[in-house]
Amino acid sequence: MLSPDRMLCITLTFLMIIALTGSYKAHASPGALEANQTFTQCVKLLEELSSEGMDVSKQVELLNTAIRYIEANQTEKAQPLIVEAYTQLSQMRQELPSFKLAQNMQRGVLVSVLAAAPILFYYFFPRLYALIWLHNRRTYIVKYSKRERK
Amino acid sequence: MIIDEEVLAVLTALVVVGSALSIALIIPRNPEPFLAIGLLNEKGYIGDYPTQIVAGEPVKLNIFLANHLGKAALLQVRVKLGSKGKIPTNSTPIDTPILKNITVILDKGKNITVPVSLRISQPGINQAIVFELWMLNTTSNMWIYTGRWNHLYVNVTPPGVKI
Repeated sequence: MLSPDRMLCITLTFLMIIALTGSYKAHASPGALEANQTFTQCVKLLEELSSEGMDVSKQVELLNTAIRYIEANQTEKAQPLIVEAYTQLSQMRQELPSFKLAQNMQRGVLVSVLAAAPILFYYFFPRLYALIWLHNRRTYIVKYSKRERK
Repeated sequence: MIIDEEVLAVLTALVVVGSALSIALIIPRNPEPFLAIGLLNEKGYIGDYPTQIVAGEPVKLNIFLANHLGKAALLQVRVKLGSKGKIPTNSTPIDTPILKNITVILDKGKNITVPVSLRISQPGINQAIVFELWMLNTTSNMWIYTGRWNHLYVNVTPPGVKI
């Protein structure tokens, strides 16, 4: 026969197990996504990087897979994916200034070339056309005609 | 000169117009950002939605989501049960319990069609299946209602009753 103290101890242990299991399930529910610090950091980075034009499709795929696992209460499978996405996104965040610089330079060069195109066209096109015109007629022979002189 | 001055002027004008258009297309613009939610039937088309359903039996639909916010976003579709006159507005969601959550991260400029299967247990006339679109605000770390929703009115009959 169990003593009342031992009974109380077993009951408390049982209640603690239920409470712990309950909190684990609450954490695993999709509504608790925002409670996962790494996940919310990932979403923050995704927003920032995608708004700057970086390709984040792989990380979006990883995180969507992680969400599916969380919805299926398989947090242990979701967490490595979230960590992997976070690592990749952090690395991309470090590369963001150089990416923006390269993007702006590329855009600047392209705009300059397009802006200069009319001027270059106006100056070079008649010369180029004349060169092609002459090249196509290089075999022509100019003949002297007495009849036309009259 | 082989080319007439007038011909050269016309050609140069065409090049000016072409380059101006190209520059306008290259310079990034910020169009008005928006999110879209659409309700599709089981086959993924607009229309031909179920109107008579049996309580406890699955209702199959598709939800279309599009992200034109100019950035990736964590979106959530909250499926709720409303009624005639009790549907969300552009500013307030309805306060009924959530039947189902669909959570997805959508990249910039992308869209997705998600199949949804629901079971409604309570029989009733003109029940509204409501699909509210929520988004995670990463600054406050809270879900915010976007003001976008869809609803479908259905008559739910008890099981075993002939329609």
